[in-house]
Amino acid sequence: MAEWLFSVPGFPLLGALLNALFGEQLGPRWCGRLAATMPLFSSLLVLAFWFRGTQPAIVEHLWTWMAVGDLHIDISLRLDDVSLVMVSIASFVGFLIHLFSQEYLRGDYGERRYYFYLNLFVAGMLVLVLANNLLLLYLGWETVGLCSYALISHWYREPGNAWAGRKAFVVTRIGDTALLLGIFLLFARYHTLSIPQLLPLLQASPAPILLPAASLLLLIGAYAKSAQFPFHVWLPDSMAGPSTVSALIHAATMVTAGVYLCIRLQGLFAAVPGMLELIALFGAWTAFYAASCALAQVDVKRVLAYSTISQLGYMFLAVGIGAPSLGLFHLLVHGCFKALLFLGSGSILLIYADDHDIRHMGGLKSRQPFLRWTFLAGIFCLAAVPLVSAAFYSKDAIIDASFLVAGGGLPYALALAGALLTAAYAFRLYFMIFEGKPVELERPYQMGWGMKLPLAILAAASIGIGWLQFPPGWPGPHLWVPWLAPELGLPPRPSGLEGLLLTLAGASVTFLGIGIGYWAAKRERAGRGFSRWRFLDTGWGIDAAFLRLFPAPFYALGKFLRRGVEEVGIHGLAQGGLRDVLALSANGLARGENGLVSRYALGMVLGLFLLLLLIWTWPA
Amino acid sequence: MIALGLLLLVLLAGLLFGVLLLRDTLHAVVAVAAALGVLAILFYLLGAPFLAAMEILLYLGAILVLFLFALMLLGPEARAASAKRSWRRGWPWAALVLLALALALAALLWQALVIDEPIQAIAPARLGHALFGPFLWWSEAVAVLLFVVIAAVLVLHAGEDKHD
Amino acid sequence: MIEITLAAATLLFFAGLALILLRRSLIVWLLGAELLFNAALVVALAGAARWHSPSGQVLALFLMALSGAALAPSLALLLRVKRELGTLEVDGLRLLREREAQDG
Repeated sequence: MAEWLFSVPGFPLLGALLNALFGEQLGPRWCGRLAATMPLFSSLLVLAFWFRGTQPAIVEHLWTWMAVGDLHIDISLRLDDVSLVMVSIASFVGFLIHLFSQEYLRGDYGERRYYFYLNLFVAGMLVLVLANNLLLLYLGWETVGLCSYALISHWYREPGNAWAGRKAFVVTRIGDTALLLGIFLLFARYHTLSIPQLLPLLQASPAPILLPAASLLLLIGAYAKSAQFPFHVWLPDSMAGPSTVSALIHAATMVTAGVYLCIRLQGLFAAVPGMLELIALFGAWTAFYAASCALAQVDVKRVLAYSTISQLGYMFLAVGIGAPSLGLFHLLVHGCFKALLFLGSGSILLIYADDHDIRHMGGLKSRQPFLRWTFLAGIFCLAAVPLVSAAFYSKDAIIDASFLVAGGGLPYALALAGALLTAAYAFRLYFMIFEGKPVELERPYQMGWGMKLPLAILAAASIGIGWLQFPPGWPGPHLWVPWLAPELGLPPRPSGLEGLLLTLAGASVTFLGIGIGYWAAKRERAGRGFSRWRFLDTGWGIDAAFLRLFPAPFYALGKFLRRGVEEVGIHGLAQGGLRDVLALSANGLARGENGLVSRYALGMVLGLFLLLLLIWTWPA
Repeated sequence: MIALGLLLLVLLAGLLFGVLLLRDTLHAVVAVAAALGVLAILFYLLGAPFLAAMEILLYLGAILVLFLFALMLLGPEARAASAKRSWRRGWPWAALVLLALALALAALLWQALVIDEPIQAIAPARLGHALFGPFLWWSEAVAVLLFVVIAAVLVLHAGEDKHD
Repeated sequence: MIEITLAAATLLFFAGLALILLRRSLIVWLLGAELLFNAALVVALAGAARWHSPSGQVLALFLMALSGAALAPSLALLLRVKRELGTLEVDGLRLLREREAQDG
């Protein structure tokens, strides 16, 4: 059984390869079908692994990648509880999105390219989470970054889309570089990059300066990939890609890579004093900040983008307060409902002929009941409506736990405020799209089963997955936390009266938020909504500040190099000068003889003479 | 033995000098032939009777004959009689470089040139054993090479009959 | 004896080089190449005599064959050169140079 572990990333990789080689003959439709079956196979394999269980963890060593001196990197995959959850999300949600894409992208240009990159992305993500050493993880990390760039820029004929893809790539590149530097530092000190070997080593002997530096660099890498403040600027613009891409990459998989890294290397961060508190604070802050921005967005996908940033903040918060299993739980839940919302938004865009502005939408509930109910399930989950949404069990657990942790006052307040804003923008979105007066549509659109099925499955998951782990003291299953406890420890969980009060606080915040959302939607329709707050709409001006701050000195440096160094220095002095010297000597030589063959022969003899001279005068 | 060798050396030097200075190409070829004949005698003295015979047969008998054929086919202007047209333009520079090379070589090899070894003739039979023993594949390769050369020459002159 | 052989080889080598570098006619050029081959041949034989090994003589034999093999296409090409270019001088082989652009 263990020997088949490589097929989990192997199937999508094979799909990409077949697409590349035979896509021309297959045609776009069959490419799509081929591409969709690959994550299905992976999911089935993952299901088999669920039955087999992961005690002990499965390790498959494929081959040695590099072995030079101290550096010994293998292609080695490891499946334990955490990776099992991640591969399940990646493969199964990946499959649903492939399925949705069949209908969604039919007839569009670049289908074959899309499926190639989509398959490659899934393969990369699976490698990332299955990697047993940091360099292989980095390989998967880079692969998903590349595919993300390619997929965001999928409709490349619009220059804005290509720009968005580039922006995403450049910003995550900053993080990738930091990550690589962190890896280098770790290797320099501990001489191993294999995760099971590295963690005990650095917990036993934490290096006083190097370890905080390395962990900070790794954190920057995670933040850039997971679009956390201040590296979040690429995510709202990356909505230029197809909605299915956003569903896969910016909801369920790539952006969760940073969270996965922090969960995996949690021991590393714990070994640095103050690191976890920093992560918790930043996570809570990002959650609040992004939720505030989402409240003012009028592009349906930008609302969801900021929402993703915010929810990821909750996951980082969970890691920071020492509750990584809750963070993983919310990762799972978020993967389901956010993918659902993005896919739903894809349908909405098809219905409204690619008009993203929610102020032009309305009253969809009567035209599209199926879409309405599935979308509503996602919105419920986003807002963490008590009892019937999975996020109530995951996100609220995180918020409650942060109350319990020492120094958790500020994160708790930020997280709770964020939850209020989350419920507000979530329902604002719903009310503006589905309620109110219906807008005239030129072309009625009905979804086929290929689109309805994924939505239905994800909606069911958004509601029901939370029932895996009820809060302590409640009747119902308590499966998740104990199952992950050997790997990730036990999170702080309130119980008794405290637990009840915290739950009530969370629930009331949600309901208050729903009310605010309703009111905000009404004001928005009347033209006086939050979207007029420029400050919120532009993400507190961070993006504009970056655009003014960073590119200008870079371009100035480039200009200086082009004019000053290249034109004057190299062309003028070096090349010109050298050229003149050569011309002088060449003319001189040319007077001596001017036959071609004989010049060569003479040159040879001259060379021979010089060689002999060299031998003669060489000091023995 | 040594005396004979020295005599041959002087003869060789004279002949080669002649090759350099003779203006008529045909005369130069004949001078080279004579020099190679001298070499053949030298080979015999060195204990390589087979190669001495081969020098005569192959070099004088085949290769230089090739030269003569070529001269014949190229017509009378190939024999270049006048003095001005014998030497290349800019020959003083080349002569200078050659002289420098000669001096350098002489300076290098002057001390190394005392080798005291008795000469033993190597019978043709031993040579035959070597050729068909360890060097069998090399021999075959050379044979293939000669075959390829024949083909190449034929190709180079493939369309010639039509013009003449 | 062997020193004399080596001296003979040196003479042949320089004679061949001189023919190549100094003479105008292409045929004489090829003759010089032959002399160079012969020089190598003589050195091989000197080695055979020095170390009493037939391998040196085998090498000399192969060199003979090789020089013939090199000469035959060269002469064939020479005939072509006469036909196409009309000249038999070394300096006549300048077509490549003529076609080169005026570079600085």
